[in-house]
Amino acid sequence: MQFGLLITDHGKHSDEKFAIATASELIQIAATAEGKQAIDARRLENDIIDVLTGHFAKVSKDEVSGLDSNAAEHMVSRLDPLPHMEGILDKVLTVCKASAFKEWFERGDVKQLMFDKIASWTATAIHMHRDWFSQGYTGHGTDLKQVPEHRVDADYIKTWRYRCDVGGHGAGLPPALVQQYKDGVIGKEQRS
Amino acid sequence: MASTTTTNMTNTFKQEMMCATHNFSAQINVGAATGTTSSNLTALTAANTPGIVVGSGLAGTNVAANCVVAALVSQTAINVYPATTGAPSALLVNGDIFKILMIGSANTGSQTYGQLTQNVGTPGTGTSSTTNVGTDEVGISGSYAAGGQALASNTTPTNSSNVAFTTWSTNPQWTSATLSVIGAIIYNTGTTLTGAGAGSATAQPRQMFSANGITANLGGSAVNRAVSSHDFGGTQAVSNGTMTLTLPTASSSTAILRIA
Repeated sequence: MQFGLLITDHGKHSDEKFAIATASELIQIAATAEGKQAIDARRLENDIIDVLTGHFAKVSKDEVSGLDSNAAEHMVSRLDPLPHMEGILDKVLTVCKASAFKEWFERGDVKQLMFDKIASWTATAIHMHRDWFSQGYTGHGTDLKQVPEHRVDADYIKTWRYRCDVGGHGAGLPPALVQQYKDGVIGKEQRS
Repeated sequence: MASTTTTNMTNTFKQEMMCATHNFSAQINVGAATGTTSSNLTALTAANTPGIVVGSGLAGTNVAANCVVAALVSQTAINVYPATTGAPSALLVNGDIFKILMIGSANTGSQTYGQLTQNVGTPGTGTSSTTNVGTDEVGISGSYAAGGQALASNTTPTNSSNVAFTTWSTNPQWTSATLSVIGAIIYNTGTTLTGAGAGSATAQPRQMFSANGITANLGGSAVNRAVSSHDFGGTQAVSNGTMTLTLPTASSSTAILRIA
């Protein structure tokens, strides 16, 4: 029942921080681990981090690009990690199967767990970029900057905040419900 | 003296689970139905109905506010309340909406949030008690709003090794925020205890009576029922940045909510 915490002051989580957080869930190394097995495990963890850093950099690039080019459409689209998932599990599995632990990564349940974790963190990364955008910021890393002419009363900003309030991110809202919200027909008590 | 947090499932949540008043089901995309301005929706696709339970919220085109599933008629038909306002389509059946809020480190309360917490009440407002976190909630900053954030999205509970567990699909997160916090509380915003149509036996299938009246839970308050509290092991702070709470792996030994 314990949460972990990922905290970054003065900006967004870096792509590498997302990769490290994800990798730490894919391969868990006991603090007391030592010897060759521990060395092999840490080497594999680093290899996974390298692969995932590239993955999260691509997610960041696509998100920032989408927000900058058409914020109205991008902010109300479904928060869906699947378009980013093609091929990434295979890349991670390639480095895993080249490690000393390759038999473990042949298991179907392990592959499913890995997919779920990468997808969850990808969704979290997407959420981060859009949430910062809702606060009037775009860009990434040292390039974080204010959105020109940001309007907190824009429909797509209000829709985003509504989803944060009632949980509509994962599935998206039916168009009619979005319209009802925009029209003020429904408020915070309405289910998504 | 300030309020503190412990990591516990609340006692009222455990009682309420036995009365079936919390619904963690994942969203079900039901599609279209026939039954214009009707409380009886028919011609549902049978493959889309498994998992629907009485009391689930219903959203979609021509669905009235606070609509709930009132009865399961058959594999392809349900009764809803209130009635639809036109031809229903894009129907989504939801479990309850669970949210998470955080307790500030600089709070002035005297509570121990944990097993005895019953409701979060009106977060950000009022004196803290077992039925209201009140001003013990961390102040709004950046994207952190009063009451915290909805947990997205429910995943239907499962079990393994004789332990039932559930989680959510995306880690809760706040941006452009300056926060100093000691813990968090997960709570249920479900309005099925207080939904529209008070007095109708079919409108509020999971409503229960209590000493405080019809719109109350076992803790004496109707909405924002506390599920669990989670201690952060000390003060955690972020300055004009990003704070992400990482949901643990959903397994029988680590999931954020587990019943053994």
